[in-house]
Amino acid sequence: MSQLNRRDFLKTSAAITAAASIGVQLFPGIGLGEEINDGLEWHKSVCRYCGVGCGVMIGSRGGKVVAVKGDAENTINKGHLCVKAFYLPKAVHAKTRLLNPMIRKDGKLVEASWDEALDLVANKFNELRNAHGPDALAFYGSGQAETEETYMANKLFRGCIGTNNVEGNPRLCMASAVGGYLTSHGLDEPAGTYEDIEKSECFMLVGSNTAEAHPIVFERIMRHKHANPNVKIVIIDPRKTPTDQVATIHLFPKPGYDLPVFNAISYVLIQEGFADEAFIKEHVAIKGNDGKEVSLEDYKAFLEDYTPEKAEKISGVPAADIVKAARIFGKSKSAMSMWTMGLNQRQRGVWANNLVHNWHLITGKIGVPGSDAFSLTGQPNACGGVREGGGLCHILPGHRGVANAQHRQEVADVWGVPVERIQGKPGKHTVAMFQALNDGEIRGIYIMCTSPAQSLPNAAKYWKGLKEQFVVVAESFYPTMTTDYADVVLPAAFWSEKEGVYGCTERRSQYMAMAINPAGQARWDAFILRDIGKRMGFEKEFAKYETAEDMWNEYTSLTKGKDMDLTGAPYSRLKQVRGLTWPVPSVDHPGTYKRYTVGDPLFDKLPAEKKQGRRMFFYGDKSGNGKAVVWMRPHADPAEPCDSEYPFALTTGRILEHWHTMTMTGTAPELNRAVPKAYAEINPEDARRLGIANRSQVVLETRRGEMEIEARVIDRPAPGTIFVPWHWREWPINVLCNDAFDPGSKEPEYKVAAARLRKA
Amino acid sequence: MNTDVNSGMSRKDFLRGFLSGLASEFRDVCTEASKLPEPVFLPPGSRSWSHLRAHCTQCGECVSVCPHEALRITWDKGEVCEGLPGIHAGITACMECEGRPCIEACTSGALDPGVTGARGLTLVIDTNRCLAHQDQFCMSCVNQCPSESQALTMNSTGHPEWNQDNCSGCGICVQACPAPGGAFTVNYREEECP
Repeated sequence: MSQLNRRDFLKTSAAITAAASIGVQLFPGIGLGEEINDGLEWHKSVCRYCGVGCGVMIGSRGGKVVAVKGDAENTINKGHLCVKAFYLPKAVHAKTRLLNPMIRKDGKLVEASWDEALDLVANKFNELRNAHGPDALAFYGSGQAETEETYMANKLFRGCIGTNNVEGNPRLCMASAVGGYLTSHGLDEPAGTYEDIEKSECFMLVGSNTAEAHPIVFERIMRHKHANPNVKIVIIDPRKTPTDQVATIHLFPKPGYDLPVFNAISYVLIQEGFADEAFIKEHVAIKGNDGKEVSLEDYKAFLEDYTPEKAEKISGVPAADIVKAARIFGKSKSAMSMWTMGLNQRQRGVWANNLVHNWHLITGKIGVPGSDAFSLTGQPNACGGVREGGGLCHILPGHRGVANAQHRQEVADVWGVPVERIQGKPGKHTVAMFQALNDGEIRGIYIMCTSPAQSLPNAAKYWKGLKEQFVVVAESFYPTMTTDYADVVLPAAFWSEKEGVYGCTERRSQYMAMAINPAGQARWDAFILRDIGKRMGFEKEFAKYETAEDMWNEYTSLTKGKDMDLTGAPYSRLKQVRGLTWPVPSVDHPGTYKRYTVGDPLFDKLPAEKKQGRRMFFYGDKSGNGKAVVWMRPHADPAEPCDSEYPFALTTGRILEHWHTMTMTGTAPELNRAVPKAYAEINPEDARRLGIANRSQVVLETRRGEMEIEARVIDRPAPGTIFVPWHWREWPINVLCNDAFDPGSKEPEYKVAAARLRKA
Repeated sequence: MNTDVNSGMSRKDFLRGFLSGLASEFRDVCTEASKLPEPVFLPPGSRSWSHLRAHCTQCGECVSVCPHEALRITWDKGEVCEGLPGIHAGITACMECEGRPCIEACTSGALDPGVTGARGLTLVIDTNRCLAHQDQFCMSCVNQCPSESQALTMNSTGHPEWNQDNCSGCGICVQACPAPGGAFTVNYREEECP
């Protein structure tokens, strides 16, 4: 064996790669000095994965990304990352990266030049638009696209082509949270930030497997609880999860039957004197489900239908547990509720959100350190690009709405398009969009940075439209379930190969540096869209965008004076700092921790006679009274309740090691080995009754499809509930999910479907 | 048998992707220096390696009935398990099949259904390799351990801890570990064997 000493060895790429990523000793006794950073360039960025928004440093050398480590100076994660981020370099340089444009000829996708591909798209889109009108076209984007990318798509489709058929996968994910914030607070996104975590005495984790879906937030909660043993954590979830290791108490409602539990908690809070009646009087309007304002006495009378005992009958949660949970919340000096898909992906997702908001509004546990109703956003840029950037069929950039004529004018002026081009009527929401594709009403669709063939609920139903209509897919990886249907596939530059902004859960917009050049012939999505726009004839509308900064500057100019003011966050500033939380109205403003109260520039600006000495003013309240709303939402069954034919409640979700459709995490052999395939979690009681052994094959069926899958007999889902992670195209569980959706938010009910189970 | 399959996969990726053109001596050093011995667990129902060596007739029946191909004969020379069946958890861990077909199939009685638990195992988590110990939040071993937060738990600083009292020696933790090269080593206490 060679006589090389270990210090020399450290100069090899492999050691540097691994050591640089994790910044520690791979080999005991060897210090990691300057050798490790030899030749490595570090770039400040944000993790490609979940909505936590962890800061990362990308290490590159020789044109390749060789390491990803946590950014120690980022306040969100302080250098910590989860295991997915660790393997991002493998995704960047994976063999599955799409390097060349492709066009389907004679049924097969063949490589083509950019000119050929872009001309085909532009000409086909023009042809369809001219023959059938602008609404024959659609754009379906993503909460993982950069804000600049969504901004370009929005301008092209809404401002130039003239259709409001502009949607994105946050419709499937966060729309109910948006609806909840709009109806409860008057404006979208949380009032507080992550800063509240270390100040809070109580956490209500509702429909959130935080340990696996928002790992670094979970880690902060866990460490905070360890340092402060008085911190109490209530989990409300039909399933036990890894999050339970921090639980003080866990309530297990039957899937879809939890709204009475939320109301019952409010009942106890009021009954036992935890309500802050002065706060309610000053800051809260109480409204019936019909939207009419009512009195506190009316609300108390309404809650009589949701005593803990009555809630137990509907939900299955013991009344005593509901009382315990309510008392924990009520007695704590401060409390944070956090939730994600368990509340949002429901046919009454907006109601579920409202009912959790109610706890905070009736007790006044909002707008003060440690207290907030804090929705956890699933994707890294659902907030920044789509909710703020206006990437849904009914909204416009900067928290504007298509129905508002003045909003349309403001946006048209900045875009330099005739205002008549922007329709006042919302376009088709996601499920309707893909139904319209099935029906041939939409004949051409541009899909960017997402894979609806796998991710849509009742997915197989929508393959027809994808097959029959003209489909353009801009994507970094190939193949995916969606590229299977594409007529044109455009290779998109991936994370680290482009600069841009991501805005995460806590209203923090963060700049991501471009560390390396795009692979192969891949190009940045925003430039692809710009160039399609030019080739469609919108030369002057798109000529001005030469850099990402051009796009960001124009977009942020549209936020001036709005609740989400980002004018104090130009690139020059974002490149220096670890993001800024809006509103940040000027370059010397530090960003905003708490909205609607002192310290929020919009609150501070309000005249004294308007605020009347109140602690908070919800300036999104259209009535002008500055009040938030407590909603009297009743129970509603899930869209597809269990019955004798389909006695199980099927619920789906994520796991720590994999992300969405696995185009990225599937490139890491280590992550694949950690969790190689899908499985159905089955409660041991149910397994025993059905004679199902752990790791045996079972057939899982709903009215929409069936699949053979491995049983995981485990005490996690409550009896009667089955859980399946959704990542694998080989086990496309979304085919079995229900596409019924919330009438308000249009978000589908992924979280509950009626299912049956048998041995294979 | 390729004992590098476990930790070898990620090293091979590194080598292929990032060490092109590097001298072979660097490659040898890299392989040698970063290799952890492959974790091999006792077969179900086996008391210890020395007991197994004394009683196993190497008939191969347990290996052939294992539906997950977790039980394999170790060919590494000089290992305590050389020539004997063991759970090569880096490839596939023991899935603790109901009815334990391996024990059923054993012709020598070396595998005994009454023998369970960690059986002298010490599971060592290398804190230099475990991602959780490097501030890369990871819970794969804890999440997948069939003891459901008994044998492997996450402590309050976010690091996995092992408790032999609830461990059955299945090796699922080893299979699940996503650290490059894996973060576990396995030691067994040896016993006098009649």
